[in-house]
Parts: sequence; C-alpha cells; structure tokens
Amino acid sequence: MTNIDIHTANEEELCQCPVCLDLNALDQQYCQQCHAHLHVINLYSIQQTCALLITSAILLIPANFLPIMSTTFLGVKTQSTILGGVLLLWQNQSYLVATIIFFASIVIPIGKLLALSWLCYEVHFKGGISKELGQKLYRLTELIGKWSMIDVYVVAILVAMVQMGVMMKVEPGLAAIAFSGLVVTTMLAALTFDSRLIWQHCNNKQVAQKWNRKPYDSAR
Amino acid sequence: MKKRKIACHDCDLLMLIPHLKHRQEAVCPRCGFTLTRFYQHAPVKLLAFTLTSLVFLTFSLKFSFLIFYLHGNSRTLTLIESIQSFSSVNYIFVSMLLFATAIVIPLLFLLSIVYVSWSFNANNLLPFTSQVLKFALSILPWNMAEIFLVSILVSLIKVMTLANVNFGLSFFSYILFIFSLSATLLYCDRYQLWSTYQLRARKLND
Repeated sequence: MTNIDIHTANEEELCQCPVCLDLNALDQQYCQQCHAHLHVINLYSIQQTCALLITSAILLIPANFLPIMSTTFLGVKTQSTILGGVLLLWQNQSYLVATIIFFASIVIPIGKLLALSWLCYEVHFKGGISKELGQKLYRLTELIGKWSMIDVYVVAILVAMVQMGVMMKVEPGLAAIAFSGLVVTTMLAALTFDSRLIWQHCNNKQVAQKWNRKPYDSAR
Repeated sequence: MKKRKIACHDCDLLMLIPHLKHRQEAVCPRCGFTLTRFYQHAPVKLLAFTLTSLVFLTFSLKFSFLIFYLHGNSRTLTLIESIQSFSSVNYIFVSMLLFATAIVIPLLFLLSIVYVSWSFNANNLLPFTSQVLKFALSILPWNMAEIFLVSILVSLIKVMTLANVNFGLSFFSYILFIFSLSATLLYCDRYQLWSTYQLRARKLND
C-alpha cells in the first residue's frame, strides 16, 4: 500500500459548489453548472454566524421571560412562560411530555447557542480543536435544531382548538414571536457556519498514516 | 454511473466516488460525512413516493383534522385552520412561518421533485431544471412537517385532562403523508440527482 495522497479541494485550487457538488476553479464567483454563489474557505465567514448567534442570544431573553400563552378559564386569566408550562406538566405527572418540551425548548436552543459559539471561538483563536468532536457537535446542532419549533406549534394548535367563547380560551403570548425568531436565527447560524474551517489546520500526515495502517494490519 | 471526483461537503477533502452497489453508501474517510447513498432504481422510487406524498397531502387538506369536545360543545378543525389560528395582526409572522414550514415547503419540495423527475425522463431537459432542483434542495432544511405531527400529540396530552379530542380522516392521511415524505427524503440524494443532471446535460451538448 503506497502513501495515499491527501489533498483538499482548496489546495488543488478548486472550490466545490455547495449546491450541486461540482468542482469549480478557485477564482470563479458563481458555479458553472447551477450558478449558485461559491464560498471560498475564509476565516471571516464566521462573522455572519457570530452576528446571528448574538441575535439569537438576545432573543433568548424575551422568549424565556415573557408569557408564551395565556389561558382564560371562566373569566380567570392565567399566563405561563415556557418553563412554567414545563413545571405545570411535571406537576400533572405527564413526565414524558414535560421532558420533551424541556429538551426541545430550553436545552436545545441554549445548547446549540453554546456549541456554535464554542466552535466559532475555537476556529478563530486556537485551531487546536479536536476535529472529530467539532464535526460531530456541528452535525448534531444541524440535525436537532429545528425540533425546538415544537413549542410554537403546540401553542398554535392549542389556540386553534380551545376557542370556547367565554368558558375557555387560549391566546398566544409575545414569547411565541421571540421564540420562533430564536429558532430561525439559530438555524440560519448553523447553516452559515462553514464546517470546512474545522478541518483547516488538520495534520494530513497523521490521517494518511491512520489510513495506511489499517489495510497493512489486516494483510498481516 | 461514471466515477466522479468530488470534495467532501463538510471537510473539503478531494476523492473519487467509486461504483456503489444497492444500499451501499460512500462515507468521507476523514470526517465521516455520508457523501451519497445508492439505491437501485432510486429515480423511480423517488417519483413514486413523491406522488404518494402529494396524494396524501391533498387528502389531509380536505377533511376534518381534529374534533374537540368540551362540556357538550364541539369544534371541528381542518389542517389549515389548526395552524392558521393566530388571527390577530400581531402574530401574523409566526402563523405564516408555521404554515410555510408545515405545509407550503413540503408541498413545494414535492412539486419540484416531480418536475425534475419529469425533466430527466423527457427527451430534452425541460427549462429551468437546474434552478428547480437547486430550489428544492435549498428549502429542504426548512421542512418541519414531522415536527408538526409530534407537536399535535404533545398538545393532545396537554388538553387531555380538560376535554376529549377525536381524530378526523385528515389526521390519519397526514400521518401517512409524513411516512411517505420520509421515504421520499431517503431516495432524494443530492449527489445522485446532480450526477443525473450532469449526464443528461452533457448528452444534449454532444
């Protein structure tokens, strides 16, 4: 087994189209095949991600402290925040739903925010990041990000269903707007983050050694 | 299918995609990203599941979706009514977002896939094929139909102590729609679709 040549597209002066996966010359602005905008690997592209992350961090405050819905039952109006709703469900012994909502609307957005900020920080300042861990973290944030939309959908369905005039009524709260804005901005932040940056200063020799060892071992 | 050189979408490593057998997948050796999955007769299966999802989606729009009983009063909702509920002007953006992510985006995605499949099977590529394919793949991350289904179940458990809720015909149709949509997404492979496009476009130029 000879040494495997490891080249990234960037080293070969090529740039891959993110849409149609066609390889273009590095100096092209738009893809030859599908005319999508090409992104050359650039450290400053994380500025966009950072801006979106700051926006979502700001939106996190109204989303958690303003009421997400208010219930009017026989003239008595009660308002509940996201965390209040989770606690109420926990008291009513629906533990599964309480856990789902807790994870979907509190753990996932905050975890996603922290994970992406950490990735941006590592990529920008250190470069000594564990590549596999970073890549796994990024893939996880991309995958589960949209599941935090559950809470907004639940409020929408409840508002539609429970419209019984004077007797009982559910109305949405301002947190619904902030929260859906939060989900959209974190999803955009995950989409704009260029994961190729994680692999920028990868030690290619080590990777090649790892690959070469495997077939050699099995041959013996 | 011809061997094609591509770079990994996630880590930019250059490699050749080898010939794949049925149900085989090509994985980037450096970062573990699944580059492509090959299924035999994938284009036919893709079109079949796309049409199935479209049929189920149309069915789920027509009939009653949820029926809600409280102290002798009942309230019947269709699928669109259950999302488009934030009637006041303040919440118009939220309700538009919910409507788009649960119904409009899956619908547009399915329609574009039908168009692309039709274009690949026609004698000449139909106009705007690459644009339609690009559009379909770009709206894919915003498809939240399955999340809507889960949140229906969550909200049912929330009101279970107060009232009775029955499912209408549309609800079951929507569940079937989610299943066929996931099958469609399984066969919708970015690399395979664009390779087919490239092949077709080159054949026309020769």
